[in-house]
Amino acid sequence: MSRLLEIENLRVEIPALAGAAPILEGVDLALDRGEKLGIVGESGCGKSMTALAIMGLLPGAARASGAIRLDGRDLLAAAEREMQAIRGRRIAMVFQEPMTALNPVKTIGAQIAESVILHLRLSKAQAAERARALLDRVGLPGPRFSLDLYPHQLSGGQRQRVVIAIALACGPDVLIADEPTTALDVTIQAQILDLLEDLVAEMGMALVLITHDLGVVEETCERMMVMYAGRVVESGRTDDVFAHMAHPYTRGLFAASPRSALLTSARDASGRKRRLAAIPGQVPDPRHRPPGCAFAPRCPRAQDDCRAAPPPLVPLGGPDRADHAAACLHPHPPAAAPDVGHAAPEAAR
Amino acid sequence: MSGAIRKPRARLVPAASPSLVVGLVVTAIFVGMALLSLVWTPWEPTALNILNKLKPPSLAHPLGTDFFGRDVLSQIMAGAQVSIVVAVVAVLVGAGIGVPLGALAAARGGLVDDVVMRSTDLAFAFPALLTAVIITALAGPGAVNAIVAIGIFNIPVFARLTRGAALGLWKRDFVLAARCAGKSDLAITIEHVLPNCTAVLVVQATIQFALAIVAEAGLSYVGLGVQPPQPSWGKMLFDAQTYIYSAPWLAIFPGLAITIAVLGLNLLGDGLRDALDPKVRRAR
Amino acid sequence: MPRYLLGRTIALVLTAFAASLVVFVAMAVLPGDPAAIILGTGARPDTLAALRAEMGLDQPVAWRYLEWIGGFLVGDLGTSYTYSVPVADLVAQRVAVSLPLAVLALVLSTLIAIPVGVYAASRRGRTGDIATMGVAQVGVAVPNFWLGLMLVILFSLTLGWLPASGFPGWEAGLVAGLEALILPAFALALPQAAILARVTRSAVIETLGEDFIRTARAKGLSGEAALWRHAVPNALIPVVTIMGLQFSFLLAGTIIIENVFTLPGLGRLVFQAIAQRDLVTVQSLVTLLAVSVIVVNFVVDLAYAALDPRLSRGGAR
Repeated sequence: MSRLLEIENLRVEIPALAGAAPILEGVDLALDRGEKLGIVGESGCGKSMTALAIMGLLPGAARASGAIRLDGRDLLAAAEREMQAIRGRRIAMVFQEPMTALNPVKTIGAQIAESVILHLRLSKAQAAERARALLDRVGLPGPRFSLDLYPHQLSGGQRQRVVIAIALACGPDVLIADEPTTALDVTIQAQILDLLEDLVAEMGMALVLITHDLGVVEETCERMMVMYAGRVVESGRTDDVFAHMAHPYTRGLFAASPRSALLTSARDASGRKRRLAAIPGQVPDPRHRPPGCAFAPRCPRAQDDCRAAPPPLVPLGGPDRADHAAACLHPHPPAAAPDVGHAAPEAAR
Repeated sequence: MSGAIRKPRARLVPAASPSLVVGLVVTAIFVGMALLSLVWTPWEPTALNILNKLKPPSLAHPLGTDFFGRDVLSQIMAGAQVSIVVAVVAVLVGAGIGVPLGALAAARGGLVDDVVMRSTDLAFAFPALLTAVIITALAGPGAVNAIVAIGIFNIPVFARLTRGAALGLWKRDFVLAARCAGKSDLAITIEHVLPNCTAVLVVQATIQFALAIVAEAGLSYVGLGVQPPQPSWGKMLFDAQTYIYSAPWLAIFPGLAITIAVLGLNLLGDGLRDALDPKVRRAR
Repeated sequence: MPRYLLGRTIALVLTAFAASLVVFVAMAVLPGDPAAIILGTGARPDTLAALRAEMGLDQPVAWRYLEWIGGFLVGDLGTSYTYSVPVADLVAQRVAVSLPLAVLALVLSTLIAIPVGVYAASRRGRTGDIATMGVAQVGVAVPNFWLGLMLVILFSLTLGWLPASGFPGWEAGLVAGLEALILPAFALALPQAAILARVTRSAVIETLGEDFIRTARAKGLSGEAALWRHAVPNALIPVVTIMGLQFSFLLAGTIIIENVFTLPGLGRLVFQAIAQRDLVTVQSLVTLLAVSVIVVNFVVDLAYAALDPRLSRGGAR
């Protein structure tokens, strides 16, 4: 039986950029109904490109190859008309910037109803009714939050709720949330995530949650995938990945996140105040990607063989965690649980 | 200029784009034609030759002759002088008054700013060409009055543009630093604000120059520009209208000259804007 | 909204008064005594004095302004020195030509420019875009009075489809009237359409890059639908402002174009009045034109606010 959403060897490149490495390469992913998958990585690692590739909304110059299958149907081979019937109906997306994701001159009611009218062929009145119900569900109850409000009359968190309502309007099978809380106040972030989790549970859809925040993934998703420079570097059940953190990049991400400071003591053994560790350097430009492992120049464990060819994503073994794989020639051994204290100072230099 | 204060300057050597190159070439031809006509034209532009009147284009007279037998090409070359002089001086007058006004409004703010801005609002209420027609008609036709009439409507354009650009600059760190160093508003305006407005002002000047050429031609067309025998493109068009049945080329060529000159300047303006304004360049 | 409206209205009235004052002062400081011009050089001093009294020229300047503007407000634009008829009547006759001309030109310009601009934006960087914008670039540079002459050569002299000049009057019927106005309207409209098409194109391109277009596409809207339902309506808001500005250009443009086509409009009236030093007519006419520009800008501001909910409706928070 085919999975709900399956990506196989996805490769995205921009042919116009001569000599540039692909934006995405060898990305695999599989997702079933009710499943929640987190994709993490720094900005520019290809998370959002993966989302846009699934939606079939890659920028004009980009070319995708490989396969993206929804219930066995390859979306990359689908005609634009077919994609239009799928977008918003079967796969929907929540965007990062609620401030700009809504059309400023149309009422929120009209923007929610638009999708319902388009896909479900409802009348205007029925669509308005449905929009009302959706707004109520995402926490914007009437009469205070009228359908006739314009986006500028709402706060950032409220707008993101509207964006979520638009995405849910036709009851999609897959919801892709691309950094849905990044642009919001910290206090609002938790509310929006809770709302998303509730809705996914209630409607039985699959969720792809894209974020740079490992903590969010740990809380929300049962499976996760770490991306770096257009490739998946580590993937598996969230518990397994967190328990092991085989790829040095995963550890670096963890060490750099504010949560690591909360999980470990605020002071290290010598009593110095612990600082957040930044991963040195930055994600390489696709035009100047090193020939081997793209993380090697920033990696504390890198050796000569790392610089020869990009390491493949291989299972780390262990019968109880068959899913867990990393693309690293010198992964951290399983025994060394995420010890931030060691990884951080090393990486900081 | 103290070394500690970094002064961002617009690039004055712009990257060449097709519109910039074409614009430069056309403008250079147009200016070169006017300069050449000072020393040489195929025929004497004002020489009458009634026997040779209303001749269609020929080898001797590539663009034909008019009702008095004057050579159209020579007149168009000489007519460029008037277009350039009137347009350049009018734009300089407009910029010369408008830029200081705009800089003053930005530097002082408050009441001064209000007065300057409301005055420009008021000036924009008068359709420029209409008012230029009335001014020259009442004050008497001629080059000087045409310059004044066209120049007046360049003042609010430059005042607004300068104020807008300067207001942004007054909030920038390097101006703030100069203020903290105790420089006067005037000194800051001259040393820091205006040099950074140069790019937008040059672009606008190019566009205003093109508009001024059309305005001058319009005034001459209704008989209010420079007076005969000095050839001008607008006057040529007016004279041509009488013979539009028998000698349509008289109406075609002077208008083509205006169109090409204006097109060249507009292309130059577009090219300069793209080259000087990093925001626009990134958007492309 | 009411506060916004009130503020704009006050600004409108003040600007209109300021404009009338500017015109009045400009006329008052002009050299030459209108009475002396009318009577000629051989006039006897007592005749001159009598005419000056009749024309109100012996009154203090401030009083003359108040008298004139008071009349202006109730529709009395003064009496023409030369025609000896109310200026309002003169204006009414001429407006019947100039206003339809300007409106026709504005409508033509909009009907041409917006589809062309949207088309070019949707084909950005491709042949269709480059070709239409190349034509627009030339169109911007063409002086309308010369375009008028070229249209006459083509459509009147060569093809014989339309009259080359003159106006039969609306009494001759709507068709005959429109036939006389169609060439001048195109001459006025095409260069303006070129400008408007360029503005429309860049506004649409800018809007197409907005995030909410991606939201619309993610909903399942086709590229076309996202363009027409989301990009174009948003992009047209700034375009409306440009259309308001164009009205002022078109008004001024009629002055010259009416000369090309010998149409008996406001432009011709201005020229005749100036030639005859009929200053009351000039003064009232110019003020009237300035006030109409101010009013149109006011209406455009309101339209802008009505079209853009961010301006007309406050926050609910």
